[in-house]
Amino acid sequence: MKKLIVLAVLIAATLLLLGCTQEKTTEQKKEFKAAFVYIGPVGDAGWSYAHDQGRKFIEKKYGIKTSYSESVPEGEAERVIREYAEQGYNIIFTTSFGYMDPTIAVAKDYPNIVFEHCSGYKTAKNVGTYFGRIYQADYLTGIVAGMMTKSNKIGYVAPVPIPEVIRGINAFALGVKKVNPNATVHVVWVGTWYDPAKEREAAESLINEGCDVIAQGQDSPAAQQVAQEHGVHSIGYNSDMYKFAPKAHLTAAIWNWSVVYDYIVKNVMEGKWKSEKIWWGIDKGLVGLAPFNEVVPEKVKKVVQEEKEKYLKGEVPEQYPFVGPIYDQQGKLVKAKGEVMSDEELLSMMFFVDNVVGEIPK
Amino acid sequence: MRIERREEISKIVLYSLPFLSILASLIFVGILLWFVGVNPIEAYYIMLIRTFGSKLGLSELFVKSTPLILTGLAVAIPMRAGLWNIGAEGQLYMGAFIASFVALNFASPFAIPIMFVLAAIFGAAWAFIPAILKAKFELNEIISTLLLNYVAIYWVEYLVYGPMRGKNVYNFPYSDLFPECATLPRFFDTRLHLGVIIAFLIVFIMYLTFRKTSFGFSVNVVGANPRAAEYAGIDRKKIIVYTMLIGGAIAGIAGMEEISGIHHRLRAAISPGYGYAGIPISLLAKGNILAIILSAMLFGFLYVGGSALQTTYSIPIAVVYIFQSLVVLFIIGGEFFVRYRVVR
Repeated sequence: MKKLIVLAVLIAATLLLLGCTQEKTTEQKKEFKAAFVYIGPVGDAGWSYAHDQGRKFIEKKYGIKTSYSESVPEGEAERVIREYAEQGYNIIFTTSFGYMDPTIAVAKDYPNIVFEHCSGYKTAKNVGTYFGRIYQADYLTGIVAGMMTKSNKIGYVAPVPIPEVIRGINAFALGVKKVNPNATVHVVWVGTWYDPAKEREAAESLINEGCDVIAQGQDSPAAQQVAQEHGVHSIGYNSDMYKFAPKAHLTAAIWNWSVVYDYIVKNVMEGKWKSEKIWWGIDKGLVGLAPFNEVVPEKVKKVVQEEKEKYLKGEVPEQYPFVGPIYDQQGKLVKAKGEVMSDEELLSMMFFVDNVVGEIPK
Repeated sequence: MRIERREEISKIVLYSLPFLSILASLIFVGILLWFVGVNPIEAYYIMLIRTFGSKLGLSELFVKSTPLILTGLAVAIPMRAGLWNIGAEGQLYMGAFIASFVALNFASPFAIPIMFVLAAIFGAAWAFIPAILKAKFELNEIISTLLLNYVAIYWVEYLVYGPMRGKNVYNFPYSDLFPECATLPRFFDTRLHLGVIIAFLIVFIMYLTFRKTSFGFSVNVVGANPRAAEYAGIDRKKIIVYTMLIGGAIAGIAGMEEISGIHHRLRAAISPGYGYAGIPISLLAKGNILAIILSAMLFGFLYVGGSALQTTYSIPIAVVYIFQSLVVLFIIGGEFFVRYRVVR
């Protein structure tokens, strides 16, 4: 065993020497490079997939080099981000909430590189944040679900109890309430962002309970497929999930990250970039709806269009539908008529509105 | 057809075996890389350069190997007594939990030593349950340690979604950041933290314990032949409990070091399976305490080199996982075919 250790140490030492001498020669010529760090796999039709569509868009539009790492656990993120920084990337996008602290930590050591963190709240001189008001799209899909349900029971397969998800469920439920005050939204928590087997089970339990429209907040299309198998309808999330359930899938609340990546990369390339907190909505096209299924009647499309117009024309605040009167599950008035919830309140939302059935795990 | 132990194995074959196995796996993985459009020679070169050729790579190698060294030990020590500790993951989480509790509620200049001691005690306590069940009732420790992992992991999950959820985290499932006095000092502007040194120290202490003390000798006897051990007057049950306690304590320390050295706050999923990785690490080292360092560093290298591959080529994570598992499979499998042969 001793010999083995000596041998290994010798090998390590030679490699070290080799590495130190070679490192400088591998430096490449300057070109604009953008890197993306993803929490999930890019092929999942979900969150990371939607971001990767944005990456492909800017790569094509600007002819720049882009690179990505998928399924990076939060504990590994700091190394991955730092590796990109060491390799001289001009801008690094970190696309999960858990990457916030690592992004800030690495950014401190590389003041000349631009960092953009998605969905967090910490910024620095060279760190900006970006996110989208997906709840606006959730609200519109809620209208579709509310008008399409016959049993007046709508199921929601929910990932993890954080404000972002709760905001989405509430906006969805407010959409349902707007068109169908008798319908309720039934929430089952799965506890993960990506676990097709568990999502399937949750969707099945909701359908057995009598729900005839299934919405979801996860990255996999499992709930859509279950809806199709049981002959009920479904609402997708993250990206257009039509192809996974062509009969069930009515529409989906989708991300279009290319809009914001385009804006940021352009600014960085032109030297106009500054640290911002971007939180765009449907008016900028960062969030939107997937094309309607052919079974969705014209009158539903019309109502959705009318509500959408309100955002586009600026008739409602960006926080809409979080405008009073809003009641919580206990029937308590949270916001009086006409009062608008602040962004701060949206970002830390931890209650369900009155037509949601289910609890937030504490 | 049956499998038979080879009687004579040449020393040269035995010592060069790990390297031959690695070489074989590299050829295999090379084909795989070539399939996804990556030049394998260049890829291996990049893995080596990025890991050993820069301050970042080298420091990360040690940072990554540290929890692996500890969980490797947590499996290897009970293994010397013939026990399978599949529960290092849960023991790690319990250590992380109590360390976080101290860090967030009892900030003081003594926070770090208290966190170390309590993490070791909680890790050990978590291992004590299966140990006592094994010693008293011969309850299979593989099942009990494995199942207790889930309890510990979900316990931490419950805490970060509930009572330990921070006030300044916008209701995300994290605790608040630890105060500075409860985080392990870092060196050279890297993530290299005090825990790295402590891990090596623990290896050294364990090495001495098993080399020089009668306790270490007793453990080896129990592991080699439990019946002979009892004839020799060694209390087998005591050895079962003690080795599990030591293993659990070390895994608990691993949890404390991760939380206080890397994450600086409690969160779910603090470990990407370090506790489970401890099993092949221990197997690879054949229970040899010092060899744990080498075998954990090999795993650390696969992690660090794997992410270097990703950042360079944007290859699917699945390819990286296959790479990592093939290397381990080849090494453990190669060992088997040298020691045994198939006879018709």
